Amino acid sequence: MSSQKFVQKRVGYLAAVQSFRLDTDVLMLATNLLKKDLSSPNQFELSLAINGLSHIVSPSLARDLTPDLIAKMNHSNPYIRKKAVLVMYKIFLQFPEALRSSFPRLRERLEDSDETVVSATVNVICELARKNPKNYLPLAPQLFNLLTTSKNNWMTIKIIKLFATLTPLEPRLVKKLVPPISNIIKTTNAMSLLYECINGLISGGLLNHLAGTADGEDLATLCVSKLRGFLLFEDDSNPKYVALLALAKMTKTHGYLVAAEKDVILECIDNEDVSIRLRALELVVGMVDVDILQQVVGRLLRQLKPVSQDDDADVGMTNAEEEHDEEDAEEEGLAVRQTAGAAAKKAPVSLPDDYKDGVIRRILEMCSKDTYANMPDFEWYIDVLVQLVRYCPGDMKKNSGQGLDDEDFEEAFMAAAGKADVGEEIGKELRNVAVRVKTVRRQATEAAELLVGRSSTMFPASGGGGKRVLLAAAWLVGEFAEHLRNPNETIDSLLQASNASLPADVVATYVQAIPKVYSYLTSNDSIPWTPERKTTVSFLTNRVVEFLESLASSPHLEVQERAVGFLEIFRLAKEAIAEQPATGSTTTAVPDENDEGMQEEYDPPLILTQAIPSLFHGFELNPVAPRAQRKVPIPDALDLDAPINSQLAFLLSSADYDAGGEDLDSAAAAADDEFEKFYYQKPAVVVETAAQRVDRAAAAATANNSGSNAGGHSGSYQSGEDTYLDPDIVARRKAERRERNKDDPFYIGSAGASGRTSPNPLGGEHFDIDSIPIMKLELGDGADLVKGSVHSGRSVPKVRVEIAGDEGEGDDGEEEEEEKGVGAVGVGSVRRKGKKGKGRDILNIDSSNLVGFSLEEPEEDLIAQEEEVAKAKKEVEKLRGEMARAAERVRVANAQQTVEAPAPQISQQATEVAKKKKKKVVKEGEGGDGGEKKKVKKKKKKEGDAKEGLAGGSTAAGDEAEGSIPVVKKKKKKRRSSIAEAGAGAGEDAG
Amino acid sequence: MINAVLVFNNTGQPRLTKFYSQIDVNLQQRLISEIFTLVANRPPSACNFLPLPPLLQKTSSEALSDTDQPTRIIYRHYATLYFIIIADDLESELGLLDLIQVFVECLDRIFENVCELDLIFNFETLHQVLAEMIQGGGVVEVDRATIVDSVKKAAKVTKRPTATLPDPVNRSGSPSGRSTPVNMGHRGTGITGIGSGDFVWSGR
Repeated sequence: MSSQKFVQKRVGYLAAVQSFRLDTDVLMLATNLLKKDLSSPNQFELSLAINGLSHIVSPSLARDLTPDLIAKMNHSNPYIRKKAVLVMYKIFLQFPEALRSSFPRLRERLEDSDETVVSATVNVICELARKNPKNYLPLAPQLFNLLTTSKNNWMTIKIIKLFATLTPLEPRLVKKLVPPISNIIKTTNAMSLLYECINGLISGGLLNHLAGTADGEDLATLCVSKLRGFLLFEDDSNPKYVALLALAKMTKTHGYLVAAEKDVILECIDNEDVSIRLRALELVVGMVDVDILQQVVGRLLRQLKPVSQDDDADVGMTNAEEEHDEEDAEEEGLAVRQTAGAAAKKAPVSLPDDYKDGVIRRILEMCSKDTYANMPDFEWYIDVLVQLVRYCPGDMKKNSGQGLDDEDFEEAFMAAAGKADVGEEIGKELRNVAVRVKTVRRQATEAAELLVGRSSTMFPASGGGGKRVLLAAAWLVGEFAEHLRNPNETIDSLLQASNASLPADVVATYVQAIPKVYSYLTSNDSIPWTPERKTTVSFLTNRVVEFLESLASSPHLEVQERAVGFLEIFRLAKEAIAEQPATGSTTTAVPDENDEGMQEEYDPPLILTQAIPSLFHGFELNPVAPRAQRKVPIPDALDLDAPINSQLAFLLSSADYDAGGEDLDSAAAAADDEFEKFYYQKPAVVVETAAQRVDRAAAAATANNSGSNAGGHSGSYQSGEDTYLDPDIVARRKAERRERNKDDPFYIGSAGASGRTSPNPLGGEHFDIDSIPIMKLELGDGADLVKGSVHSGRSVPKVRVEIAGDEGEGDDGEEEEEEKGVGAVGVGSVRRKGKKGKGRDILNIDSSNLVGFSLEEPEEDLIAQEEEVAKAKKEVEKLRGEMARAAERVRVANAQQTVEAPAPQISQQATEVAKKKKKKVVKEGEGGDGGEKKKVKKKKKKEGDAKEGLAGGSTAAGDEAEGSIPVVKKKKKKRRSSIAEAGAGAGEDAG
Repeated sequence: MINAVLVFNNTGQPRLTKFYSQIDVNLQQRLISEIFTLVANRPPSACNFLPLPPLLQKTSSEALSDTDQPTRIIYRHYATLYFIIIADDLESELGLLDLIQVFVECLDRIFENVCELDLIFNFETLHQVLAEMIQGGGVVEVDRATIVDSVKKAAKVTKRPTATLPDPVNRSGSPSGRSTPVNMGHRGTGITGIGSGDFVWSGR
């Protein structure tokens, strides 16, 4: 670095810049070298030194070199001037006091003849203003002038950014700024400038401030239309990205304007660039409403659809046509989709899992916002949820694992406690809907039934995600067993031996669900206790016992406990069934005994009709607010330490475990096919099993895309839905619809289930089912119609569904407040931590020195300052009389400070400070030794702390509190430096 | 302000790393590799803004109020090189995009058809160009002509006219002819490891 040759010097500086750190020892030796280089006549050496300094500047270097650099700010060469100006920011960061002495110079540079110097100055002021904007308000006129005259886009951007930080402090600026900025917006060609103008308007709160006025509306409209222009760029995605960013900021103030642009924003959801998608998604979540919710979710679902499926099932359609399709579907029905489906879609990009994860979460967030305020159709939502389960990214190794070791179990719990799995989230939604919305409880339960029933196919063992949705599904199946379409099948799938390999907590839920379904199946005492019935029930009981036995030795405590508990109950039930004779002949193999009343009647065993159901029948479960538990008073008599049963040990020892129990029933020992036979021979609740129907329908749907001619009367979503819902879900929906309409004389359905695949007799795929007039009959009877009456509401745009709110949500205002208070404190402390923990933030430049740093000598709140001053005055008055010598020094200090200070006010306050210092000196004698100086240095690094210290010091001024010492030292030091700068050595007396 | 300027090639080897705040070398390298993995997976049609890499994300969520946090990473891809700028929200995204363009254009004017090797063997010039544009995190100069001019002038100051600046005429001529003054005369202090005669240059 000290070489004479420029080349070597340059390399030296380069190495220094890369390798020196603030704590590098040799840095201390560099001061003189830098001083020398800074006075070099060669502008390149000079710039080299300045540039090097900008990287390696330390507090001591900054202090020592400030005078040289200030001089350089007036260098004759603009090349040097601009660099000198810019390096000052780095100096300020290390040595804030330099700001005071150099600020006048800096201000002069705003009027420099060279534009780049002005630009650099604006840059520095911009950075400074962010730390403490109010210091720079006086510069506003100059800056405003620059804004209107400047031709340099780079600088204009900076000025606008600067104003964005200033306007919150000075609302009057808004009116001044609007004309030039809107002028720039209208005239500029530079996209960056245009964007920054809009951005400045938004982030500076200008739009916010003007909201409601005609001007403001005009401006906002202008901004949105410009941003719309950004979004429409064909081949450049950068403007899109920034426009979405800006729009997202605008939604807070001008949500309706942004919502008007939803067409282009929705385009962006399908953009091939994932970062644009995410931005758009954020925006959409904020602006979604009843009208576009289905449309948006539909688009997202289509994205999630695996690529391979996209290829064969349906080729998809271009975005424009999709749009068209979605909007016109109701009127034009299926024809549009058919034509649109032929068009090729752009190649779908494969999406990262975390993106999928994010999308699913966003969908759930969107849909469940404000307790389903935007939800137009819950049946549709349930379908979407089921569909989402299939799209769950198969991450989470822990869920796909064998699920039987303890670690796994713990991990599963960890996942549940921390970041919940997406599948679990979906499950929660499903459960929420089922519990809160009574009208769709049946659909939700059926969906859960489907999930449970087909779990083996839907969740392949190899890493298929979303398995945890079963947690909620199993619960639903059990809790709302009366809504099950086919409880027999469901309990069959619950009892499958392979279920034991599911994650432990899911198995635990299964164990809980099984008795519930069982009790639903067996408790009905209106069904006669025929031999056949008896066999069926005892067979079922055996199955349950078998399944639970296998789990009774599960390594997971939860599963084991539940299994063992229920196992005992079922063993009892088994005994009871075996003992209870059946109505009619005791010979079990006579089927024609079915007709009741011929012989003596027996009731089903009480344990089935009374005991087991009573385990589960209680109050209906309602959604409960998270804090409701707190309101339950703790009973006085509660003593958690008292033993429940004092004779526990005795009971345990005397208990006999009759594990082997009785031999299995002969029927139970029979092969599975016999079991199957029983199930399918039984008078089924529905004509055909759900699975069969679904399977067939799926086959039909894939085989014949036009097979959707059986579409129902409402048509509000179905024509669009099957582009993103899997065929089997669609088919299930259709099957249901047909079921529902079976008894409707006005409904022209296809003839039976088999007729679905046959072409419509009335004419091909263009046949519009919607054109058939459908009259609604108010039939009050018939199970199907009762069900149907719920659905008939679907032809109106929004179903009036009752959505249950959380119980215990009301009248806990104070608790909420409390919570909020806690939250606020939490946030505050986090912020504070963030400011202090500078070491952690990489790339972050420690500028805490400058935060709140005032240009004027007193850097505290004026009020606090005033008090302090008043106090100090009194004290000093007292002291002055006593110590003449001290007063002498005060005068000297006064004189110097007034020379320094730019404003008259400052001189006064400087006097006060000096007096205070004086006073301290007097009180402590010449106590300023090295140890305390170190303290001062520390304090300086944390300006905020210093501030507090000062405030504390001022109040404690009279009582010789220790806390005031550093403050005094600090002042001393500060003054000393300024004095040194003025050329006088008098400041040294303080030390 | 600008927090860092990085240049690395398609395989993630850094060609220029300039951090405008002092951070640990380990952290620098982690950051570079994180950014590289982000950048390398992006299709060419994607926009030029990167999501924050994990290393930066963590800190930014901790201190939301702190405006000094780098919030934007802007990159541009030229042939074999990625140019990356990390900045906070006082800088304009689109402006920085232009800045990268200016940077590359300046390099192009100085090196005449700049390529990765130019940057490797003339890293001083590379640093100088950057220093003319950005100093201590602030933008000094955006005018291409001025930047090129001052870099060229600075090269002349080093008594030997062709010092760090390859003579365009020579460059287009025989490769070995131009490589000698450039690399032998003044590279001694910079790269000591490179031998004198047989550079990669001759192979081009």
